[in-house]
Amino acid sequence: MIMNVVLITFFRKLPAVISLPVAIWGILGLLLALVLFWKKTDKFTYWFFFLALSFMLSWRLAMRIMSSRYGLFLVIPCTIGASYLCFHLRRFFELIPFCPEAFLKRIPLICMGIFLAINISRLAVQNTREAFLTVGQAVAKDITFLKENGGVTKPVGFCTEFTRFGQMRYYGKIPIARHPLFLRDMPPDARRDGILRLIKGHCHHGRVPRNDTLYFLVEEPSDTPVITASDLGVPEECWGLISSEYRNDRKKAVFRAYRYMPPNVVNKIRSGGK
Amino acid sequence: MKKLLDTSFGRYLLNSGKLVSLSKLPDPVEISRVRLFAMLAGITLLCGAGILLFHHFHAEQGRDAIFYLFLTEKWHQGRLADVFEARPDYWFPPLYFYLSQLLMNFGLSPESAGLIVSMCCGTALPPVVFGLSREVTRRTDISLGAAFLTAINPVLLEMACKVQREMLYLFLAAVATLFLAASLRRKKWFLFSLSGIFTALAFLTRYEMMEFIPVVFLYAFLALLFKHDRWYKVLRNAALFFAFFSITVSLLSLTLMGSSTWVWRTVFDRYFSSGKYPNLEIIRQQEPSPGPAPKPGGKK
Repeated sequence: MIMNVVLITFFRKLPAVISLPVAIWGILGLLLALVLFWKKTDKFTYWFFFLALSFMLSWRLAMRIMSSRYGLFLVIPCTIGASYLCFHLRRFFELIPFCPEAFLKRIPLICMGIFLAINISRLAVQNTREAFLTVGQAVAKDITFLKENGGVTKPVGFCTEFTRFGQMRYYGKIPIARHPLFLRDMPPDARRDGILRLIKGHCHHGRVPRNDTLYFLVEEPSDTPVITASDLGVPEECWGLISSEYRNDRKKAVFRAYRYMPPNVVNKIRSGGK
Repeated sequence: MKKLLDTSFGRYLLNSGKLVSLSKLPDPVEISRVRLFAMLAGITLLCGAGILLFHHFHAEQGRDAIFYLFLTEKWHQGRLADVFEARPDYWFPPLYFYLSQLLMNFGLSPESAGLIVSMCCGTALPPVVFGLSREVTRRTDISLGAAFLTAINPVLLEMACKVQREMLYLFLAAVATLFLAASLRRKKWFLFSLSGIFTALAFLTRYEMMEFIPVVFLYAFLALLFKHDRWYKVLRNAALFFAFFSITVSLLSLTLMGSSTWVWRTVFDRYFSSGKYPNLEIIRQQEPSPGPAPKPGGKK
């Protein structure tokens, strides 16, 4: 169990906040420094830095670093350790016979160049706000259409995931209430039941429904099929997909906005709000 | 190892002295002051440019950032009670929000204000890491390398273009560590004091900075054990650190959160009361303007 915690911490949580190449290079550099400076520096300095770093690492391991950000401070010693190893690497390459002096002198620069190339690759994925803006605009346009056609008289309800409602409200500029709806990790049957429960609660509750219309703003894996009316067992005209937009350039996740309207509201819109 | 040394390659390593030099760092690269300053300035500019580039590609703010924007805006409007109501089970360190709402006085939006704080701290981090590395390793070339790696670290660049407390915390923590590392070698009392002040500032940004408290106890214990300095100087330095830490936390908390006693009653009630949270209606009644009209007879 302790080994699992150590492995997860070192190979998943810490690299998430430090960046994997710097984390590995830094830990190797720190270990090398600990071994080589064993008897070369005064005892106070050696033991102070060794024990301080050990304490910082051990309390984070003990807490199992719930969030990667708890390991943020370790980026500084890891970076110093990585730089130290880049310069010390020359001694290891000097063991190779007939290694060119020009290459030996430039080893730190080559290492830094490799780090730079790895880091630039992270720019390849764009993670902008476009998905929220597009979906938000589509929903706002749909709400305006419904209001103009007399279909909506009660407040419009929104259901979205707890982790995303803040962003949808801020970027999409639509007033989303705090209704957590965890669709992503639920199996398809449970997801359908969750949606139906919300529909019943807000649109068909007792004699006075709370909402005329419900919008479901969800983030799903791209390969997840669109939820259709037949999946939910509601009439075709009551359920529809309003907008769908990829989360980022990787196109592994997609934002979708669905709308549900009770049959009486649909009839009202068809008759022009009368 | 003995078998390796018996080979021709092993004898070559022994005769050439390369095994002995394995444990030594290569000779330091001599860099003039002007060149050093230019390189450091270049690394800082590179970091700033990298942050702006990352912001262009990763402009989306996360869930926590949206919540921080809400807190900043409410604070700027003077509605501190709403800020507490948003998270009644958690007293958040206020420094980042205070700085952001301060910048809003210049007409900036909460997002712009928060981003400026994060970006400035991110840009200023590489020189601080350079200084810290130089205090620890005493090598200019390694320190420049550390500063460069900090400037191109994608995680730090991405964090610097988010409305998060992390960059401010990391910057302040790095400065506090720099002063602490400098004080260990130079044994100057004012460096301990400065380290205490910046530790307090970092603590007012994120609670994790409390880990420095045991580290200072560790310093005192090891300094006395290995006779690093005279015992009364060691105790004086540790006392100065804690004194300046406490004074900074107390003064700044009063300044940032207001001198109203209801803030402190709220904070201490949450942690030391029987578990019931104070009635926020009473807080609203005592809140200075602008605020909602006081309601008669609040109950606890």
